[in-house]
Amino acid sequence: MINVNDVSKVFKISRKQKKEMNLKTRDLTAVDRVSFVCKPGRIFTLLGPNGAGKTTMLRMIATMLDPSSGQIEVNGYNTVKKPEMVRKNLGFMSDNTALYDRLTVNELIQYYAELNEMPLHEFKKRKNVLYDLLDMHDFASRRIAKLSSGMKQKTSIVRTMIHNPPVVIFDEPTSGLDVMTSRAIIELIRLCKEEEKTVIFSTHRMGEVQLLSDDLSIIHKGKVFFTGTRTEFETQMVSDSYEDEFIRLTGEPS
Amino acid sequence: MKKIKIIFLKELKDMFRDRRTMFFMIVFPAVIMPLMMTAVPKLFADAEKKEKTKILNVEMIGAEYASDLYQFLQSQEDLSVSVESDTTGMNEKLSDGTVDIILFVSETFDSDIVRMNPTEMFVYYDSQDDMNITERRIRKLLNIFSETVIDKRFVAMDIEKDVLSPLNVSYHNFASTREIVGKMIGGFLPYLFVLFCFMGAMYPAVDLGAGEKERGTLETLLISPASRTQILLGKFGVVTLSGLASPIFGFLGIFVAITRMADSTAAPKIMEIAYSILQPETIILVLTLIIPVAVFFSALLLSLSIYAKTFKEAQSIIGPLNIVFIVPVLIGLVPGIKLDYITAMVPILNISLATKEVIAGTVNYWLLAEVYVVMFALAAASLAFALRWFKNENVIFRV
Repeated sequence: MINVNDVSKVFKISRKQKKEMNLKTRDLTAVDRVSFVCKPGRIFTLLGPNGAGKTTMLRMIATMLDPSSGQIEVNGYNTVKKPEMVRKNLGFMSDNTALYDRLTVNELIQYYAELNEMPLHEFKKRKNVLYDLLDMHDFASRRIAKLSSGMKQKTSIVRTMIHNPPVVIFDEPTSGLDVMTSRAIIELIRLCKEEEKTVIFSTHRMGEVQLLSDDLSIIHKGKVFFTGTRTEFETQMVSDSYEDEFIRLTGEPS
Repeated sequence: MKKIKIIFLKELKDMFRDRRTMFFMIVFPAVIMPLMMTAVPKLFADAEKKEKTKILNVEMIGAEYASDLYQFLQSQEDLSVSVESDTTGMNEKLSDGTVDIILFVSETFDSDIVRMNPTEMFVYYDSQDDMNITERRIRKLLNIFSETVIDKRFVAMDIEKDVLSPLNVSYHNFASTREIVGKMIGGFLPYLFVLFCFMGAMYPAVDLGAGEKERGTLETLLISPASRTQILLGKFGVVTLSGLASPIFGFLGIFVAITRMADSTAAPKIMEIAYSILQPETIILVLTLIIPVAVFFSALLLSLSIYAKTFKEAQSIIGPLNIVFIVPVLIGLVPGIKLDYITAMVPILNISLATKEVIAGTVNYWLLAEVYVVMFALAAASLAFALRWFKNENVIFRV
């Protein structure tokens, strides 16, 4: 369960950046009074173009950034007051969550399991399940630096899921991936849903929304323009396609 | 505590697998520095020896007016004396090295000597890269000749030579050899220690801060249940360890180099002093002085490294800092600057001065305590700053 309640995030920018971005103040509002709820067993999508504030929003949920105002709760834990407990309940995967090149796959997975305080027998069991699922036994003792990007992606998945978190966050999980790896990720997201986990993922691809979403928020320039179930979204649609509807809702000229 | 240990051990493993860090932490201080220290002086010594023993080509103009001097010079085994009538081509001969020294003697040389008058002569040489050895050699010979003339004059005038030296002084330095040598190398050692400590801490600091940011692994670590404090302390432990390891390996390297050098050049006296300095308590005292330095450097370098966005940016911030810390060490080498209640308050300078005193065996324990208090306070403050800094999201997610 993720509960985002009236959350804003304001960044202080440098004078140079202010000039470059042609802004009047040095305050840049990346997320502007956003509220939504992600429920267990459902997939929630944060849909928006690049620079919409999706990553900032997800980073706030994952306790990496503190909200400037508003509150976020993850499984009942406040992200500012109990960040360690929030992270314990969380799996987070993004473009920016890279792996240590100089460690082997096994060492890396064990490292994150230890940081999550997993008992050894539980860790071994869970590791085997995930290795079987992703067919990873062959390269488990190779250094990350020597892996192909597909293998790295699989390792990243195991890293995210090793402690069996009840809440999983994917920040643009399929961007820059080939079809095969993208499909593996999409399968993983579905599996999380089956396991009754709370799943939130961000994307700028409308197709992924149609494929996966139960609930969604449309976010643009930090503001939310729609929040609801996918069925609700489709019922209120005026335009023919998701793309056109997105443009209509955000009021951007096409 | 358990998570700090997990992070520490992982970072340590990571560091041991990084050849560049290992090179700067172990190989450079333990092998390259001692090699430079022993090879460079040996090169100098060899060159000097060569200059001192080679046969000098001396050309004498006006030799016929200075028969005694000519004979004296000719009798020297390491000189080859030729006679020339004028100065034509003098410059060329000196600069191309066919002649090392040209002596120009006045026409009245012999008669001036007999009449007990001062006489004029000129010595020409081209001394660019021989450490002035040519000049020193001919000056020494001319002094000897001069002495023989003086002796003859005393005899002729029937005067005892002792008349000219009324004081018969014998000088005794109360400072022990350890004190003298200790103050000498004691200034040099802290220079190496501070440098090694900085270098040893620098690479892991850059790698574990900006390097992780650049490679994108920092975010992966930040979303683990480990707190920022635990992450920073784990990293800080590894950087400090590396900052300590470098001077220790450097110390070992230099020690081995000195022992080997002593074997080959047979300088038992130096060895005796070296062993008198290398007492366990001296070593322990010196090492405990490096600990706060390592802590301070690690906290400072990690803070800077975490602020930087890339490996390159971190290096360009940290690189020039090296000089900032070398300056107080160099001030410690200035004669007359001693460890007192004021200098003990100046970070790094106090380490330099205290190390010098410890090695010389003349340290005042009250002042040493002051140095520890100042340095550990600085180390604690810098670590506290690093911890706060690491929790600042504007630093970690700087855009």
